[in-house]
Amino acid sequence: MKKKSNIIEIAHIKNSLGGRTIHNDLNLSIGKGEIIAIIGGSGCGKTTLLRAMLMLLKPEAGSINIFDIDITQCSQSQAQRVRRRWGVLFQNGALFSSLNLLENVLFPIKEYSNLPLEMQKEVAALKIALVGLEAEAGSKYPAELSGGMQKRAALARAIALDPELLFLDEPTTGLDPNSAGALDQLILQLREVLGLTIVMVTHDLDTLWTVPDRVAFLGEGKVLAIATMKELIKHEHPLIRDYFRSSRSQYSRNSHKTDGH
Amino acid sequence: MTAKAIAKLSNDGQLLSCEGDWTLFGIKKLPRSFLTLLSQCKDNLQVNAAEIQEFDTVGAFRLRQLISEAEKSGKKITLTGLSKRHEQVFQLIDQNIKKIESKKIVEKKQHHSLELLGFWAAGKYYNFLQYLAFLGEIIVGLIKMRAHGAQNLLQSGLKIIQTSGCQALPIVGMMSFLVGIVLSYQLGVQLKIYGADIYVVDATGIAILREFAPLMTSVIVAGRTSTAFAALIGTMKVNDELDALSTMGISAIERLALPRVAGLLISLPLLVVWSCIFSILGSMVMAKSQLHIGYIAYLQRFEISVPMKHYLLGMVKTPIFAVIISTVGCFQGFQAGITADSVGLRTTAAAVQAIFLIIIADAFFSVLFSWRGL
Repeated sequence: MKKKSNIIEIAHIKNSLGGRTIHNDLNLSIGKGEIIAIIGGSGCGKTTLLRAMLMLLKPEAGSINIFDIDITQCSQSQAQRVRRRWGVLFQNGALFSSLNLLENVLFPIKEYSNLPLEMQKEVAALKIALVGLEAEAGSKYPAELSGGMQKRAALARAIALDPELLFLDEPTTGLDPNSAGALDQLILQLREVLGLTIVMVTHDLDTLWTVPDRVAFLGEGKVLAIATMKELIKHEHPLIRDYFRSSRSQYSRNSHKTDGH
Repeated sequence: MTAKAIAKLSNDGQLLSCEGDWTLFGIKKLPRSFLTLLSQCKDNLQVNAAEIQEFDTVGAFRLRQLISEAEKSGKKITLTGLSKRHEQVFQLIDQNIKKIESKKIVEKKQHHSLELLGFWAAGKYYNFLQYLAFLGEIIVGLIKMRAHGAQNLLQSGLKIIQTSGCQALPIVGMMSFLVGIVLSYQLGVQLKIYGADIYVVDATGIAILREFAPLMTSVIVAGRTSTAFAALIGTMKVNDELDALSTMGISAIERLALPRVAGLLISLPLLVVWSCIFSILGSMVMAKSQLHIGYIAYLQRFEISVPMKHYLLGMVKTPIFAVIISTVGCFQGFQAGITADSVGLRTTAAAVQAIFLIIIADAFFSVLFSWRGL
């Protein structure tokens, strides 16, 4: 029963990079419609875990089930079907620099759908509008966009095919607090309306307090804890205590406490 | 599996029921059939969306679009039966659809072919002017260089000699050897007819030392090294590394271009010497097997009939070629824009223009030498 409702099921995976063990017997399950944030200190393997889930890196042992398909040993066509059902927002946007914004969003639509081109363009324009960009921005090239606009454009490309699963790698990094807040709200709205499951890697404490349902803390090659933020900051583990002890996070926590009450 | 999106009109023409998956993959042939249905229906139409299974933004968008099209033609439409979740999707699209309806996205402007020719010609002209300016910057950079810069020049220059010179030895050697064989064979066939076998030494010797070795080597190095320079500097530009250098107060010309020019100025002439040796070797091997001229006989004849001046005339050209290759490569790199595309274009341009300029320079040298009677 439980297996059915889990979109992602990571079991006992092992990874090492350049002889250093990154993950050792790591387990994580993510349910449908959930927003999970992955956090942890630098070098704890957040990005490696994300890359493993995205099939960019094959774990040395263990299994990763996405949509009930074991992506560590599935066939090419199965992998392709999984890929069609997710969208990815890379840390730097990874927009194609030689295509303008509309073409960037159009790219996956063109690749996978057989709607008439005119309608594909309209769908792409709609996605650009959905992430809160002006229609004129469509004819601009990524290099002409500000960082915040690039993030939004990359998000538009990630949701171009109406994915069921969305991976966000540091969605709010490098944005001003206003844009970051707006992007947080946008992510929440997308989940609310489109019923997305979202996996995000982030360091932004404001985002952590507002967006995810649960937060997974990575350390020592494992998921040390997976809980809501309120529970996580009271966690006893020294690594987690250290992470939240900095004055910056104190401030953020206090402001959110006062918000809450 | 995704089911097709379907729209059915009831017999009395008052109820349109939508079924199936109204999603990106479900909607394929729907639009046309839907429009014909709309033309058949009555003025008051109820659209029932209760039977829609999957509903995504594309489906909502399509449904919204069709409803507004029908409303434009004067029909009154009421939408019913959307489930709560589908209703949310529909609302989201409804809010955003105005943004794309009000402002059409600007299409790229088409230019007339004459206009394009003008752009092309002007582009080439400005490109040439910029190249001259770049040569000037390099000379200024050389003059202004400080002691620290000179030390860096030596270090980076040695690395350039390593990559553009030492690592090119195998390919240059092999190509030269093969060119020597081909040249000797073609001449040998003709000379044999007249019994002038031994003149193969004169002909190949002079041709190789004066023309083939410098030209062949330069073309190989242009393809190999000029492109590498352009790609490296272009990628650095895309990554903002050039801006980083300039904010540190370090001249990119001094740090990147000068070592490359200097390094190639040393490595290219040496490669040409290497190429001469292997071309002559190839020629010797062919002369022996085809015309039965022994190695010793070949070399003795070579000493008598190929004066030193041919070798020197060949070598005189090489520094000019080295400057062309290195400056064109660096120049194209600096000219790169901020996209991945432009790096590719500039890398291609580096190879093409370097080879083009080498051949022009070579022709210029030929005219100059014949005018001086050399």
